[in-house]
Amino acid sequence: MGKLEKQFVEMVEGMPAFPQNVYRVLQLTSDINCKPKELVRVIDSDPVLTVNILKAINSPYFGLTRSISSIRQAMVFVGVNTVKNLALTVAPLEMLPESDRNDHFLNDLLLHSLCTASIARGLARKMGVEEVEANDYFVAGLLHDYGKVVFARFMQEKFQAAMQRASRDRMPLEQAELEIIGIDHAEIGAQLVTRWNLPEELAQCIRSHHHSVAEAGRSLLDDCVHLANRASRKLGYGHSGNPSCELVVPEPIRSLLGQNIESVLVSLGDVVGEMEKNQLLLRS
Amino acid sequence: MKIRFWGVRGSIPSPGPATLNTGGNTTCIELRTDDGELIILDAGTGIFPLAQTLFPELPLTAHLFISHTHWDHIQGLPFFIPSFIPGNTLKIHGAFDPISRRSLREVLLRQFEYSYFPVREAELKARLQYVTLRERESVRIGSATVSNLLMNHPVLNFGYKIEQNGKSVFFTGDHEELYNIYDPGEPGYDEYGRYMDEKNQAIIEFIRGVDVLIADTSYTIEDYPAKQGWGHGTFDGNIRMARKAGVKTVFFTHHEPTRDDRNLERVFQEALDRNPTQPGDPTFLLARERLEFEV
Repeated sequence: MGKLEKQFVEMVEGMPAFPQNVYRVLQLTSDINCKPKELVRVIDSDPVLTVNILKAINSPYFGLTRSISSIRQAMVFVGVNTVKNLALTVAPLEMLPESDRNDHFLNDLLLHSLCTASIARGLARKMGVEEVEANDYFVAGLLHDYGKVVFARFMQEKFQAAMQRASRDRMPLEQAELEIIGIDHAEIGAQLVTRWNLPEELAQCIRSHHHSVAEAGRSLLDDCVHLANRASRKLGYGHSGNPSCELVVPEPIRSLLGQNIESVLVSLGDVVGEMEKNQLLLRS
Repeated sequence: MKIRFWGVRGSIPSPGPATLNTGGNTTCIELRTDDGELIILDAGTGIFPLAQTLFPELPLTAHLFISHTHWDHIQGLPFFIPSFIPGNTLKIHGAFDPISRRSLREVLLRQFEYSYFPVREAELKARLQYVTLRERESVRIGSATVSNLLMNHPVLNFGYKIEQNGKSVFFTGDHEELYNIYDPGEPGYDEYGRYMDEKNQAIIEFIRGVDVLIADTSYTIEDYPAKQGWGHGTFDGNIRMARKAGVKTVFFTHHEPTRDDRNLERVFQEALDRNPTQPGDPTFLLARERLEFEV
C-alpha cells in the first residue's frame, strides 16, 4: 500500500462509527405494524438519539407540565405514535456529522444532503420502490457526499484548494480533488460506508454518484441518487461545494417521469415543503 | 351550562337512513355558559348545522376549542358560516404541533389552501384569533374556565374541562385507555405500568366529580383487540374511568362510522349488561345529534 493510500485508510478509520440504530429506526418506523416495545429497545440502545428525542419532548414545543426522562415514559405521556414520528424526524440528523453553527460549508452540505435524501426517496416511491426499501434511497442521498466531511476533517487545506480550483476553472469538484488530493469524495465516501458495514449497493451508489448515467450496469438506486443530487442543487437548497451541474435524467426515470427535470420535480409533490422542514430542523 | 351535540361520529361522516336516529356528522359539541357565551368543542362536520342556528345572534363571538387536528375534528371549520360575516369573532384554541413544528394556525390554514378550498383564510371577514394552549393552561370565558389535559391518541390531543358556578363538563377528545406495550413478566413491564398508573391517576384526578363526561367510545371490547393503538376508547373502559372518577353523567360519543342505529343501541345495551349498575353509578347515555342536556 502506498503512502497516500495508507493515509486515506487512516482517514476513514478515524471517522466516528455509524449509528446503526438510527438506520434501524428508519426501517422500523416505515412499518405500520412496528411493535412499540421494539422501537423503545432500538431508541434506548442509542444514547444520542434518546437524548435528542427527550430534549425535543421537554422543549417548549410540547409544553408539557411534567419533565420526561425516559423513552418509556415518553410513550405513556405523549403517546406511541408521537414518539415514533419524533424519532423519524430526529434520526436522519444523527447520521450526519455534528454541525457547528458557524461552519457555513458544513451546514450547507448538510442541507444539500437532506434535500438529496428527500428527493431520492421521492423518486424511489415514484418509481414504485417499496417503502422499506425507499429508506435506503433516503440514506444513500444523506450519505452521498460524506466523503467531503472526511476531507474537511482531515485535509482541510487541500480540500479548500480543490474547491477553489473547481470554482475558478469551472471544473467538476471530483476532478479537482483527484488532482490535488489524489482521491475524490465519492470514493472515500464509499470506503467509509463499506467500513460502516452498510449494504454494498449503498457504497456502489456513493462511489458512482458522479459517473455518467450512460455507464453500463447502473442500478435504480444509482440513478435516483445521481439525479437527486443534481436536482437538489438546481433547487438551490444548501450547497455541496461543487459548481458544475449538468442535468441529465437517467433512462429508466426518463421513460416513466419524462426528461424534463422540472416536471420530474413537480411529479414528486411537496418537495419544497419537505426542504423547508429540513431547514427548520438544521436550525433548531 | 347547557350542551348540545351536533356531531357524534368518529373518523368520517356517516349519513343515511341507518344512522338517522344517532346522526352522521363528525364531532362538534355546542356548550352555552350560564352567561350565554358560545363555546364550541371541535369543528367536525357537525359545526355546519350548528352554524345554521346562529344567525339570530350575529354578530357573535365563538370560542372554539380543538381537541386535536385530525380531519374528523376540523373538517367543518371552513364551513362555519359566521367566519364569512364581518363583525363576528372566532377564537380558536388548541395545541402546537411539535412534530411538524407548526402552530395551530399554520395547521388549520392548510384547509384554506387553494388545493382544498376556494376561499383563503385572509379573505374571511370575521376576526380570527388563534390561541396556542399549553398543557393544563386555562382560559377564562366570562365566568367560565376552560382547562385541558393531554390524553392518549396518535397525535397530541387535549381533553377539555369547562367549569362554571360549581358545574363541570369534561370532553375527552379522542382517547384510548393506556395499555402496557410489554407482556407481563417482560423487562420493562413494571416500569411501564408505573408510568401508566401515574398518567391514569392524573386523568382521574382531573375529571374527578365532573357533572358530565363526554367520552370517545368508538369501540366495543370485541372490536378493540384489532384496533389497539388507534387511539380510541371502549364502552367498558369509559365505564371504568367514569366510576373511578365519580362522574355523574356519561355521554358515549365518537361512534364508529359503520355502526348503524340498531347496532349502536345493541352494543350499548350489552356494555351496560356486562357492567351491572353499582351504587353511585353515573347515568350512561348515548350521544345523539341535536340532543340537548342541561348541566
